[in-house]
Order: sequence, then C-alpha cells, then structure tokens
Amino acid sequence: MNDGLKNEAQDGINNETEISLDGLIKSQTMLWRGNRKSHTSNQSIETGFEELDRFLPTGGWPSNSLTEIVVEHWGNGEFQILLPLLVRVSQQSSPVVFIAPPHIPYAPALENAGVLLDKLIIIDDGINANDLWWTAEKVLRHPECGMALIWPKNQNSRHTRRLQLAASTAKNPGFLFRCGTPIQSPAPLRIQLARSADCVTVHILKSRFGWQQNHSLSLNLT
Amino acid sequence: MSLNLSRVTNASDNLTAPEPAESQTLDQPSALWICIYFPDISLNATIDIVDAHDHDSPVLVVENIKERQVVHTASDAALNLGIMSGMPLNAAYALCHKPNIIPRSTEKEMMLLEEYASLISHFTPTYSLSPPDSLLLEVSGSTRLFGGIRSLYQSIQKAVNSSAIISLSPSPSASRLLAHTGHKKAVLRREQLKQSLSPIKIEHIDLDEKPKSQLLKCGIHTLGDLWRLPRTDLGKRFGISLIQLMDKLLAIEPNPQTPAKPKLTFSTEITVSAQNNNKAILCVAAKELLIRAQYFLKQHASVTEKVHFELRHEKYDGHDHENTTLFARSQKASHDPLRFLPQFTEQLTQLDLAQPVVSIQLTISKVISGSRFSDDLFSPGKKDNQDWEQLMDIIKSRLGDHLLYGITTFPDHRPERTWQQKTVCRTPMKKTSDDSETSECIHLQRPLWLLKKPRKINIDMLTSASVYDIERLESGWWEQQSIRRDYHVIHFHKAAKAWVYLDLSDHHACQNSLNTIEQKQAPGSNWYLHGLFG
Repeated sequence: MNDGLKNEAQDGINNETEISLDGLIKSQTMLWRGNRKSHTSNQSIETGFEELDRFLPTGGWPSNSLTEIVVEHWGNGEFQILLPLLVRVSQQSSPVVFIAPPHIPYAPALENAGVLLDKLIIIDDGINANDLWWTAEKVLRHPECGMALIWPKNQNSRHTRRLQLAASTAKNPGFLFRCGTPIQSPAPLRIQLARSADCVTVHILKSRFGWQQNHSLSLNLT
Repeated sequence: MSLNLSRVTNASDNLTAPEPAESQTLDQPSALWICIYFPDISLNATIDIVDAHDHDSPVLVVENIKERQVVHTASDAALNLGIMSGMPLNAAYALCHKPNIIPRSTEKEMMLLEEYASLISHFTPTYSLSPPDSLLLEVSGSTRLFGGIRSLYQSIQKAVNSSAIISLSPSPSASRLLAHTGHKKAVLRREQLKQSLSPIKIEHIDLDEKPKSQLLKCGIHTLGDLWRLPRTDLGKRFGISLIQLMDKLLAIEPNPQTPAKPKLTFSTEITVSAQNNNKAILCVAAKELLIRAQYFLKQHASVTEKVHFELRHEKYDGHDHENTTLFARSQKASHDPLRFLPQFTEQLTQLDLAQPVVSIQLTISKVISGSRFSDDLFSPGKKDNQDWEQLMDIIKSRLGDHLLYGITTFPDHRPERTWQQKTVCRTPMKKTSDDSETSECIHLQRPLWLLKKPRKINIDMLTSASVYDIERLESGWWEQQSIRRDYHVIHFHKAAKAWVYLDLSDHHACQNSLNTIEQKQAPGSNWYLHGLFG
C-alpha cells in the first residue's frame, strides 16, 4: 500500500517536471537552449549596423548587461563599432562615461559624428586600478547613466562580476575593452574584433544569450 | 495719544514701550533706531581667560592711553572694591592687591560684536555695527511683523545678553547716546528727542576734548543747556561740527549708517564618545552637523558649494595629534548640505584613523546668500539630474578634480589644440560664435583616438601601408609652438587605420620638394603616429 502511494507520488513529480521544463525556459531568463536566442534578446539596443544587429544573439547590444570587446591592438574598430550607439545615447541627453581610455577621445571627430560633447565625461587613465573598478561600478549602478565604456587595467573576475551585477540592476549598457589575447571573463557577451582593410571581423567568443549559426561576421564600418 | 507717549518717554531706566495704537501708526516716524549697548563686551570677549581664574577675584581689562595703563572695564568684584573704568592701573593696585589684569583686545571685541549681530540679524535687514560696543538696528519696517514695538523690544532683549542696554529713538546718534548713558528709553517722535536728551551731560557726547572743555568752562553742563543757546552763535564759537552733532541727535540732519554684512561663515561642532573610533557613529555625527547647517542655510536663504569637516583626535600620551581635515564639494551650490554626506562617508571609508576622534567640526566658509534654487514651474515633470551631479561630486572627491573632465572643441588648426578639457557642466552650454570655425572641419577626416603624445614610427611600417589623404597643417607661427606637418591617413596591413604626419619643421632642406611618398620615406624623415581611427 505504502509502495503504491510512493510510486504515484513519484509519477506526479515526474509529470510535473516534464510539463514545467518548457515553462521554466519561457519564464526564467537564466535558462535557455544553447542553439536558440534567449528571452533576454528583446532587451537590446540597436548597434547602428543592420548586419551586426542580425548577427548578435541579442539582436543588438545587450541593454542591461556588460559586453566585453577584445582587440589585438587599440584602434582595431572597437570605438567605431560603438559610435552610432554613442551618438544616440548622447543625443538622448544621457551621460556617457569613458573610464580610463588608453588615448584621448578626439573631440572634433566625435562632434563630426554627431556626438553631443557635453554629455561625455572622461575619467583619466591616471586613475589607479582599485579606483577604476570602484568608479565603474558607481557609474554603472546609477539609473541615469546612459552608457559606460571601461578600459580596465587588470583582469579581475570578481570585479567584472560586480560590474555585470551593477549593469543588470540599473539596466545600463556597459562595455569592457581588453587588448591582447582573449582570456576567461564573466561578461555575458564577449566579442573579438579583428581589422582587415576597411572591414572589421566580429567574432563571438562567448554568449549567454544563445548562439548563431555563424560565429563570425565581416562588417564594413565606413 | 500725546499723554500716553509723554508718559512713556519720561519713564527712564525702565522701558515701557507703548502699545502700537492706530494713531501711532499714522504718526509713525520714517525711521526708528534701536541701539544695543554691551557694557561688558571687553570682559566677555576675554571670558575664556577669566574662566581660568577664580570668579571672585577682581578682573581688570586694561588698555594703553598715552603710554599709561588705564582700566577699561572692571568686573563686578573689582567694582565692589571701588575700581572704576578710566582709572589708572596704579590707582587700581592701591585698591586691590592682586587683580587679574587682562590686556584689551579690540579684535576679540569685534568678533564678539559680530557674533551678537548674528543673533539679531533676523529682526531687521538694516543693522549696523557701531564699534567697539554697540549695535544699531533700524526697526521701523519690523514693528508690525513682530507684533508692535514692545513685543519687538522684548524679543531683542531675549536674544541678546541680559546686561545689554537697549534704547530706541528716531535718530541713531540719540539712541546710541541714550544707551551709553544707561537710559533704557523709547522715544518714538522726533519732537520729543530734545526733551529726552536734555539731562545728558556734555562729557558723554561724541565730541573732541577741546570744544568739550570749552563748553564746560562756559558753564554748559548738559545738552539742555546747549539747546538754550542761540544756534548761530554756537556755530561761530565752537565750530560747525557741534551744530552738525546736535542736528544729528535730533534727527534733523541725515545720519546714514553703514549696513553690516551678514555673517558669511557657519561653524558647528559635535563631540563624540572619546574612546570610540566607529566610523558609523562618525557618519551619524556628520549627518547631525549637516542638518544644523541645513537649518542655518534655510534661515539665511543661502546656498553653499563646499563644506569642511575637521576631525579632532584624542590626546595621546599627553600629545596633541593633528586634526584630520575632509572636504566635500559640489559643482552646483546647494541649499541642502545633506547631499555632502555621501562624500564624507566615502572619504571616511578611505581614511585610516590612527587615533580616536573626540569631536567633529563642520565649517562653511563661503555662504552664498539669496540664490536659493527653485523648481521649474512650467515643466514640473522635468527630470532633475541632481543625483547624477551628486555621483560626479562623490567621484571627484575620491579621485580628485584633475582626473574627471569633459571635452570640447576649440577653434585652432593644430590637432593638439582642437580639443580642450573642461569641467563637467550641468547643462549643455550654448555654442558661441567662435565655434563656427570648427564646423569648417566637418568634412575633414579626423581620428577618434588622439595620442597624448605623437609617437615616432619607423619607415618600415610605412612601406607596407597604403596612403589615402594628405593634408598639410601649418599654424601657430605667431606663438612659440608653431607646427608644419603633412598629415596622412594610412592603413597598416595588420593594424588599424591611422593618422600619421611627417614633421617638416626640422626638414628645412627638403620641405618643399617632398611631393611623393617615396621622397618622404627617405631616411631621416620624421614620421609620427598621432591618431587612430578606432
């Protein structure tokens, strides 16, 4: 009698699990099928390049998450690829913060592109590593921040995770730039850029938002 | 009405200000001056030193007059022994063997007078200091607000020292003279001034010693005696200054007073538990101080952009430790000092407190008056980015001003000078007409990254590069920093699109003959990388 009851209960649990699996994937943003776009994909912002929007698993830049952009050398397209977003965010009167950029963001070029310079705030790269992470987190956590572009001085998984948490809490897009060979990082979306002539090859290193058939895209930035 | 007033004005040494009646308001003079005289100001200014001594022992504040030490003010204990102000110090020694002698400090008296002025500043907007020991308040505009002259008088008396002597009249000189001669009188009408001032002795009037002694020799002992004499003859004999003084006393001649500037600093202190080094408690104390500052700013309709905290440390092994100083600043002056609290907290977290903190002092050295910001009436829903400014202030206070900046363009052809750092501003600045020159450059290709310092590159890199545009920039010859450069947009095969230049300033020999890239690639050419197209 007891065994019969136990079996029935077990069956009930199995049925419930089978039924709720699809439901869970639909309801939980933390669960997704590897070969499909996740439900978070609608929380994205246009990159300004149609091809790139189609290529990225989120259908654009993730709007409430940290994106890591890896390049071999500075100037390999990491700034140009974000320029349309930069223009749009600044024109929406939202502040854009550059944290420890390796060179000077050149005001005449930015103005020519349509960026509202009054909305740009630059934190000089003379900042020490600890202050950099602290500032980045403070900025990303602020609800009024438009976007933050961060050039960290060192690799630190714990701090990167904190930045991701700050970005997702305040629903702000954050971009983390790294130069050199890609290494492990907790950023939900990681892409690598490689420059060739006028084109930039975008390669997805990691995506928490699902995968595309092709992992690489050749993008004309001009 | 007239009976009532005469009763009041004749009542000396006990001010019984009349009730403001209807007829009075009709007949009210254009100005009413209150004089507050502090007879003990010299003693009170040195009260800390006196406290250190025995209270019962006589204290004398002395000053040097014509190389003689003279008693300026004597304490009650000294007065009981017969010592009076104006007495030579030697004579005082004859009456008392061991008095506490304190030299008079006019600076301290002035500071105390300013402190007293801050206590009465809310009674009237027109008040002035009458150094060394009096304050003058013009109160004709305040009587109604404070419920009549009697009520105003009582409020002022409550606000100041109980030993202060307060008198009221339509003339500032008359009020001052009445107060200094110990008359707590209220004279509301100009016609009654002569009557009220008549008994006052000539010695007390503000006149040089010579005419004063001349008057006394003539048998003129009181102001009443003076008024009985013909005015023209007095002027001939004693000078026009005496006539002017008499007219000022009777409010016939105008007697403007310099209005005192309101106190522009604020300081408050809070004592925290001595053995406690808990930063959370210090934050609570700082909040309390900021609430006090908020009240002060509200009361004075003022704003501030900087507050200064001083953490005093406990004495350790009998030695004083240097105070720790913290600043909190805001890019926009604010009427709410509580917005400085996160900055204080942040700085305190960074701080390594070696010794326990005994007290915290908050000082606002720059109080900006009359510029309290108000909300926008026509767009109430407009997003206020006050929080963002506060964040910028916090970041600035941690990193320092030099590490946080904005950028702007500048009309100059030299690439290093076409941009400028600027302080992060709250609202977008309108474009000036000077900016029009930069708009000419819109069609020109400029890199997104500019190198802080142009980096010299070797020729091998150039040989594998494809060259696009060439642009010659020659400028700044009128300054010491002239440039003469040929800028090229090039593309390295395995690297970024770059903005490089050939420096022609050191190339005098061949500067005009370098027309082809091959010629420019000659050994010895100065090629520099200046920008990256990102």
